[in-house]
Amino acid sequence: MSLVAREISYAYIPGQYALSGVSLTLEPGEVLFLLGANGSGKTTLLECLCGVRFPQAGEILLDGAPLSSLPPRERAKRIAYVPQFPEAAFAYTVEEMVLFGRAPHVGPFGRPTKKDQEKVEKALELVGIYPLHKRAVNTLSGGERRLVLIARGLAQEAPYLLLDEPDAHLDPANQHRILSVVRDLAKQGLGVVATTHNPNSALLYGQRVLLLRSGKTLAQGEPFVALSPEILAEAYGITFQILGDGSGPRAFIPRVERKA
Amino acid sequence: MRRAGLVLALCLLPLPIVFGSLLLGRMDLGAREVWASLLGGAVPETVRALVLRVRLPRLLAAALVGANLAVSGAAFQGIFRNPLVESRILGVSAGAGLGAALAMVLRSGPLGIQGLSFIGGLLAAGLAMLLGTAFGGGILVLVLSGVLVNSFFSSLVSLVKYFADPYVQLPGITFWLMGGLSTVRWADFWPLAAASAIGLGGLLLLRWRLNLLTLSEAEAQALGLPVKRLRFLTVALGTLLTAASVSVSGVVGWIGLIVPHAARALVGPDHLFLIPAAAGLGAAVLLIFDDIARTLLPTEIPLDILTGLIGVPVFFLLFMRQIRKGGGWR
Amino acid sequence: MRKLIFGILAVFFVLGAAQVTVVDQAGREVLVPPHPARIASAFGVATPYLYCFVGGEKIVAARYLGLPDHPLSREVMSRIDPAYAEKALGGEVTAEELLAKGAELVFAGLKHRDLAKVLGEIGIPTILIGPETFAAVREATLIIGQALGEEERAQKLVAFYQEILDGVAAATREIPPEARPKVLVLGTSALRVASGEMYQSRMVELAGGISVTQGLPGSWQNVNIEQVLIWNPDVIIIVPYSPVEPADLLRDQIWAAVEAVKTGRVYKMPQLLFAWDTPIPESILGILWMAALFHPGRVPLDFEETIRAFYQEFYRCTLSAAELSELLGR
Repeated sequence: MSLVAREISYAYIPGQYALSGVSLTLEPGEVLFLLGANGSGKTTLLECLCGVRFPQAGEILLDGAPLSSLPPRERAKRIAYVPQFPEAAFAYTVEEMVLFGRAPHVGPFGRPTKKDQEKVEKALELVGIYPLHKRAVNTLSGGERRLVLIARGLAQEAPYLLLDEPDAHLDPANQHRILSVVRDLAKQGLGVVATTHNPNSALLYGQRVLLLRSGKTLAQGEPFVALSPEILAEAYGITFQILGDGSGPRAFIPRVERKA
Repeated sequence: MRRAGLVLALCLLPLPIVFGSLLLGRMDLGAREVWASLLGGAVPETVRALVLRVRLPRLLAAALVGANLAVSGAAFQGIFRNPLVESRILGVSAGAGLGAALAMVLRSGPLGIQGLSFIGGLLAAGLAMLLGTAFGGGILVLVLSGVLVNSFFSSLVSLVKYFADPYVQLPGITFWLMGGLSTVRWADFWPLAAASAIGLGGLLLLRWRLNLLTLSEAEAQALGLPVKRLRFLTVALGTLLTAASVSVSGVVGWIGLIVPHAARALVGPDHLFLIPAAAGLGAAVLLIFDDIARTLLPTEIPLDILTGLIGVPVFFLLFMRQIRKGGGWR
Repeated sequence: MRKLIFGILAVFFVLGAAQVTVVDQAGREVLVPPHPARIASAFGVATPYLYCFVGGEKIVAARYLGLPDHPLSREVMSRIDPAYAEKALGGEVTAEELLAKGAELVFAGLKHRDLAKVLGEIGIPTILIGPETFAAVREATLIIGQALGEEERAQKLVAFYQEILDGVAAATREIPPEARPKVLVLGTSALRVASGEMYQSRMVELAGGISVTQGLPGSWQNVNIEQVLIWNPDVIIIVPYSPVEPADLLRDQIWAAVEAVKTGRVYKMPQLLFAWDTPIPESILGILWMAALFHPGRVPLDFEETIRAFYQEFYRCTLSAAELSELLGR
C-alpha cells in the first residue's frame, strides 16, 4: 500500500527534461516534503504523481498497479490534489466547494446524496472550519481558503493527498495552522506529499523529504539526515546556516551579510 | 430548504403565465372562451382554432425557447468560466442566420427555413469546436474560434443580404433575424420540443458536474473528470438547444446572458439549482416578451428589439446591484 | 399640380431653344438634351415608363426589377427589346457604370440624389421620380414624356389612365362604403401586409375597395394572424412577386376563419413585364383588375381587350390569346 515513483522523467519540450530519473516512495501515515528551487521540477513531479501529467520514462505505481492504467475516476478516489488557490469562476460557498470533492464518488449523471453531505461535514470538522460552511469562499482569508481546499481533498476520501505549497502566501500563524492540520492528517493514516519553498517546514512537520535540483534528486530521506547547509547551498545557490542547539529543533536560515 | 423551494417556484412560474397569456392577444377573448376551448366546450370554431392552433403552440414555443436560451447561456457561462458569455459565443446565431437567409434566397418554405437555420447553427458551432480542439481545446482557443466563426458567418449573412432582392428577400431576412414567433404552428413546435427534451434533459442530468467545469482544468482533471469530453458534450447540448430555438424564433439576444445572471442572483451559482431556475425564469421572461410583441401594437414587434430595449436596462440594474453586493459571481 | 404647370410653362418659354428644362419629382430643374438617344434607368420603377415612350434601341442600361423571375415577362420583354439582358444593371448603380454605357440621360429615384449629383458633375443630366400616389404616377408619366420629347404620347397614356379610372368610378359610384369590400394586400410573406400609406392601398381604394390597413403607418408591416382575423378582409390580394400562392392560404386551417378565404376570394395580382402593384404605368391595369374582382359584373370595360390594347399601344407589343390567358391565370 504505497505510492511509488520509479525513475520518472518528464519533458515539456522534447529534449528538455524537467524531471530526470526521480524515484520516491510514499507510505500511508507520513508527510513527504518536496523541496527545491523555482523550476527544479517540484510542481511537475506533483502533477505526475496525481496523474495529471504522464512521464515519458519510468513508471508510477499506486498500490502496486500502474497509475496510468487507472481510469480517472478511480484514480481520483485514491489520490487527491490540493492546489494553492481556489479558482472557481463563481462565488461558491465552502460547503458547495468541498462537496465538489465528492465528484469521483458521484456518478457521471448524478448528484451528491445525503451521505456525500455527511462526508463533507466530517471533512470540514476534521480541518476545523465547519462554522464557515455557509460562507462564500471568496469572502474568506487566505488561510481559511487553503483549509477549504484541503477539506475538499479530504472529501474525496483518498488515502493519498498531494498538496501544492500549502504554506505559501500565509502569515506564520496560518502557516502553522495549515501544516499542523497536514501533520495530523498523516497521523490519521493518510499519505501526504507537499511541495514547499521552506526547508524548515519539512523539518518541523515532515517525516521525509526529497530535494530536487534541475529535475534530478539531490537528497532524499529523513529531514534532519538528508538536509544540511551544504546540500541546501547546492540546491538553492545561497549559503545557509543552522540555528538551534543539539537539544531542540533546528532551523536553516540563509546567511545574510548585514551592511554596517 | 428555502433554495429548493425557490427553484421549484421558478420552474412552475411559466405555467400560470402560459394560462394568462392564452387570454392575451390582438383578438379579445374572455377566460370562459379560453377554458371552453381547452376543455372541448362549446365555442365557435374560430375561437377554438385561435386558442388551440394559434396561441397555444406559440406560447409553448416561447416558453421552450426562453428556457433553452437561458439554460444554454448558463451552461456556456460555466464552461467558459465567464459570466459575460452566452450561447452566441460559438457562432450559433450567426450560423443559423446564414441558414435562414440562404433558405429565403432560395425561396424555401417555412420548413426549409427552419431546417436550414438549424443546420447552419450546428455547422457554425461545430466549426468553432473543431477549430478550437485542433488548437488544443483550451478555453481561450475555443473562445477565439467562436469569435472567428461568428464574424465569418456574420459577414456571409451580410453578403447574402447584399445580393438579396431588396424588395422581396431582404426584408424577410431582416425581419427573421430580428426574432419573432408570429408564424409558429404545431408543425414547428414538435421538432423544437424534441430538441429541447434532449438538450434540457441532458443538461439537467449533467448539471451538478457542470460546477466542476468552472474550476481550473487541473483541478477538474484531478477530481477524475473527463474534462474535454464533458466540455464537448455540454457544448453540443447547449448548441442543440440554441440552434433549435433560433431556427424557430430567429435571433433573440440577451435572454441567454441576463436570465442566468438573474437566476444566479436568486439561487446562487450551484448549477444544481441554477439550471432548473434558469429554465423556469427564461421561459417566464420570454413568454412575457412575446405577449408584448404580439399584443401591444397591430404590428409584430421583433423580439430582439424588446429584449434589447428592456433587457439592457434590467441587466444594468442587476449588474449594479451585484457589484454592490459582491455575491453571485466574482 | 403646381410642378406640372410650371413644367409645361417652362417648355413653352424655351420653345425653340436647344435644350428642354424639366422639373422632376424632386423639384429639381433639369436641362435635358432634345430627343435623347442614349437613355438609362437606375431606378426599377422608372424603367417601364421609358419603354412606353421609346424603343429598346434608345435604352442603354436599366434596372429590370422582378423581370428575371417571371417567365412570361421575360418572353414578352425579349420581343420588345431583344437585347435587354445585356443592359441590365444590378445592385447599387454607380455613375461609372452609367458613363461606361454611354448614357446621356438618366432616370433615377428620389433616393438617388447623391448619384444625381455625381452624374451632374460629369455632365449627365438625371431626372428623379418618386411616385407614391396615382396622381404622382400621372405626373411622372408627363415628366418623363416631356424629357424624352414625347409629350403627345404622354398625354395619350394619361388619357388612358383616366378612361379606366372614370369607368371604374362610374361603375362603383353607387356602392355605399359598407358595401365595398374590405381588402388586405399581402406582400412577400403571408403575414406581411401593405400599410395604409402604400401605393397598393391607394390602388385598392381607386378600385372601389376599402383597405383594411388604413390606420397602419409606414411601409410593409409584419402582423400576426390574430390581427388579420380582426381585420377580417373580404378580399385578399397577393402581390405578384410574393412566394405565397392563393392555394397556400385557401387550404390553411387557421386562415380558413378569414372571410376572404371562406369565400375563396384570394387572388394573386398578375405581372407583365413589371409588377402591377408598383407605381408604374401598368398599375392602371392592376386597378382595373382589382375593380373587376371587387365588383364582379359591374365594371363595364372589356378586361382582356383593355389589357391587349394597353400593351399594343404603349409597349408596341402584341400579346397572343394564350399569353393573355396565362397572364390572367386562366
